[in-house]
Amino acid sequence: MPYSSPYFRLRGRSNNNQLNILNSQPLQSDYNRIYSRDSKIYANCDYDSDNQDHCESEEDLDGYERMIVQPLFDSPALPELPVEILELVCTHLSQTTLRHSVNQVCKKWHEVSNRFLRRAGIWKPVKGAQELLLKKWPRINTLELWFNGDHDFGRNPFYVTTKTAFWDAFVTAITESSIADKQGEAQRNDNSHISNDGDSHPMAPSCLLHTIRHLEVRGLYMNYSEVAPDLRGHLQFIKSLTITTLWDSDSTPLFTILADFPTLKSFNFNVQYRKEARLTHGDDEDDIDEAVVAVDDLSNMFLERYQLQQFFIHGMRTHLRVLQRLLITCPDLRVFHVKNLNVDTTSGQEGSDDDEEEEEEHRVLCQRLIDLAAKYCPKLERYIFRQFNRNTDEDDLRGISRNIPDQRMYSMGLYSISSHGQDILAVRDLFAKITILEIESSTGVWDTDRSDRLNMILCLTPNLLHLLGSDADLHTSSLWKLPPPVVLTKKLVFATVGDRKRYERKERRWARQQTLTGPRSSDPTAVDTPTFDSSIPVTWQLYNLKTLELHLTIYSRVVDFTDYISRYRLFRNLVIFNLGIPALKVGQRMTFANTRAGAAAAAAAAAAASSDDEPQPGQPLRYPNELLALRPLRCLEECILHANDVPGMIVATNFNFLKRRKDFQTISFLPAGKNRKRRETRKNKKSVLKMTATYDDEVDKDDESEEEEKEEGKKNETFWPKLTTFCVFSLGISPSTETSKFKERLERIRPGVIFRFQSRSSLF
Amino acid sequence: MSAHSQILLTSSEGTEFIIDRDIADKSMLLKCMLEDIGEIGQAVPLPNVSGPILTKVIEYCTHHRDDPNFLSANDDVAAEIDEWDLEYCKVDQGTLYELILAANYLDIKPLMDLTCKTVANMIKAKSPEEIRKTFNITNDFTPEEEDQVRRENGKGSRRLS
Repeated sequence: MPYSSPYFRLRGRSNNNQLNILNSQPLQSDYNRIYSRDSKIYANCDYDSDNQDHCESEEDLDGYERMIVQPLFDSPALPELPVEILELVCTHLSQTTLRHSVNQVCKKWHEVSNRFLRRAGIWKPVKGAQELLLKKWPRINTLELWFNGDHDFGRNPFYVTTKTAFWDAFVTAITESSIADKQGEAQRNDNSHISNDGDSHPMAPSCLLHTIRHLEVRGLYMNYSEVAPDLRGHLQFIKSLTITTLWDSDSTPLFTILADFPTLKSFNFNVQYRKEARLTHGDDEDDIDEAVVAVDDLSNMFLERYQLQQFFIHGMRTHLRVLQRLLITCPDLRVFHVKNLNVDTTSGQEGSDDDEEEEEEHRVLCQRLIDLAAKYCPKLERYIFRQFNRNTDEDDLRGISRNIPDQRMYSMGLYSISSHGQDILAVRDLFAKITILEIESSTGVWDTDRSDRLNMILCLTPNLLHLLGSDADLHTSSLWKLPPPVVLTKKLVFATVGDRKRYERKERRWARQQTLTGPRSSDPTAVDTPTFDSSIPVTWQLYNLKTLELHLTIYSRVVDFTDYISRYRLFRNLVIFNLGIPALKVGQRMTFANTRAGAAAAAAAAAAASSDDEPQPGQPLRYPNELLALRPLRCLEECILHANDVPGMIVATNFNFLKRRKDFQTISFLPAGKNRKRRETRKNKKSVLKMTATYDDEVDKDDESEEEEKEEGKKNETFWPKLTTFCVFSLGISPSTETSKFKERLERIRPGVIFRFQSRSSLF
Repeated sequence: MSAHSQILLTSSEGTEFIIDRDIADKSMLLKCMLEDIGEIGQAVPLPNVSGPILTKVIEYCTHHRDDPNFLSANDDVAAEIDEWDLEYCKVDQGTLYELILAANYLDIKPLMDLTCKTVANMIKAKSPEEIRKTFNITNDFTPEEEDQVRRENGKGSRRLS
């Protein structure tokens, strides 16, 4: 409620009663009455009888959150946040919030938040930019360099290149020694017993660049060979280096970088698009004929050691020996995270036509790397190695599990059709201990095999907490469906009643068993040929999942997925729900009922839906809201949907289901005795049911019906009570949904939630 | 000195409040003052704190009077706010600002952390425009300046990262 409104709500019990009295013009007697007592008055306030008229109605509502009090101040407008307070608040905000939100609010907030930002970027070679950056320098520890264009500004490219006077001046400013340091250096040079050769101590900061701990390089591409000579010799204090480029035209010399950054702990190289970027040694090793070097000799060849602890590579091409050398020379390595890599092997037969030979070569390569990692990196906690478009098979997983038994995060690629899931079943025990799983299977072409394998994996991971599969394709046809009920047609005419009943019982038991442990195919006809182990679950076991990132293929039905979730009571603890879907249908169809075509379509659709219900003229046809089935996800905080299409017309009222409802308490008006009688009756009824039930199904049914009753009761609760963010990204979304007015309306429906509707095209 | 002795405080309007000594000791300002000059039996004037705000501050200190970790409150930014404190902070923004200033003046660090965290939570996960609306701020950037600031903060960096 806005401050200017006459009332606002204070929730609480006894203390608010006191505040209620203390309105904007309190009486002296009120203060005396309350505060001249002992301290117990704050805990439980017993009012004097002569003052009860102040809170007569509140006393009746004691214990309920219905207290309405006036503001403590009568202020005509919201007061401005003082600078001192803003400074204090900024100490509680993350760097991301400071940078992307607070910094851009107004000039005052910009100035205050700048004092707390520890990152500065150099991206625009304009007059004054360098001075501005140097002014910020004393408080920053992260430097961001934008090289060779940011294609956001394609028409008027702003970029820093190494061939400009701006870059030269900037490099000179950050690498030259300060006067005080020069004096200190001179003093140190005088002390010949400390430094005979006249060099300054390598670990003493002497220039501005030495105060930087994290270096980030971004842009279209970067040529390390152009940048490095200018900064070389001044990079010994940098702990992490992150390079993110859209493509990389030049090779990246890994071991030259490690030599230039002697205290580097984290190296992260991410190439977005092109897979031709090469990671090389960067020294004489590149010229050595790979075929003549035996693997066993490698450890004797590389005697240098680096302090690197984290190594991330994505989307590059390299030679196996580069990775081998890295594992040998970095004994402190804790994270080895290599994804979408093209690896050239010693034999040089990359791209061989013989699939079997290639597979064998890949297996040997993986085995060699994991063995080296286990041998030379005793501190390794996470080992992920995935080649571009290669399946992660049983041997890969077994190798990791054997060498790094404590690893709980695994990354899998499901690309080609393979052994029909038998490899997955073979490592079933391994899946049981995975808590974080990253899966990638999207290749642009959908096939059932990949989806089935993904489904099977999710049936075997009961301890999974985070599923990261925004590039993993799932088709809803892979999900388990109940087979149709078995109709008993045979009748034993000449059998006795007992025999017939026994036979029927046996049939039912068999049918029930099939329902629980049948094959994974959704085809009902496949029920007759059970081929799988009955102990293998057929439904997902993701009961504790916190994060779900998944992509449904274009032919999937969202309603099938949501039904599956609610039917098997999945994701009750889910916090982040990030789903790619073919279409989000929540609004009104485009065909209006008042047009001729619309009326015909409406009539046809209504007739198809139910022959009893007459189509009502003039009423627009609406899509059944597919999100409603996700009501049981009560812990959900973030809901992010990536829809290919949002058909029809969406208005804010389509999201009325998100409206927060008032919590209520059920009050029984029955006397205590009657209540007890009612409870006893219910208890007896249940025991009678148990006694008469002949099949487990009936007991289960009773339990299920109770649970359903509970679910019914919870329908009156707020939909996703903990929701903080609701985002929809789509390729085809009505432009009206991107307006601020639409967002405002949604925020009025559910205050406190960040809504974002954005067409994916406008993201670029 | 008895722990149950009482202290008289006077707010900016001249309203007098009698509180227990152990509650007054939650404020570093009052604690140091009372240790230095002793209990002289006269009211301690607090000209920077109004009556209603002092009421709220006393309410907070009274609730936490038996909290053993009150003075050694942790500095963990991510520490969660407990339920009572959450309810306590559900006040209008003007009161919240006054509470921060009062906590700063009286030197009550846990209350200051709590109120600042509450304002920080109002800022978190909001766009600049949403923050402007929440705090009734006018955007005084020119379009060129706004564009400049946005680019300085790496508009494209989130897409690339």
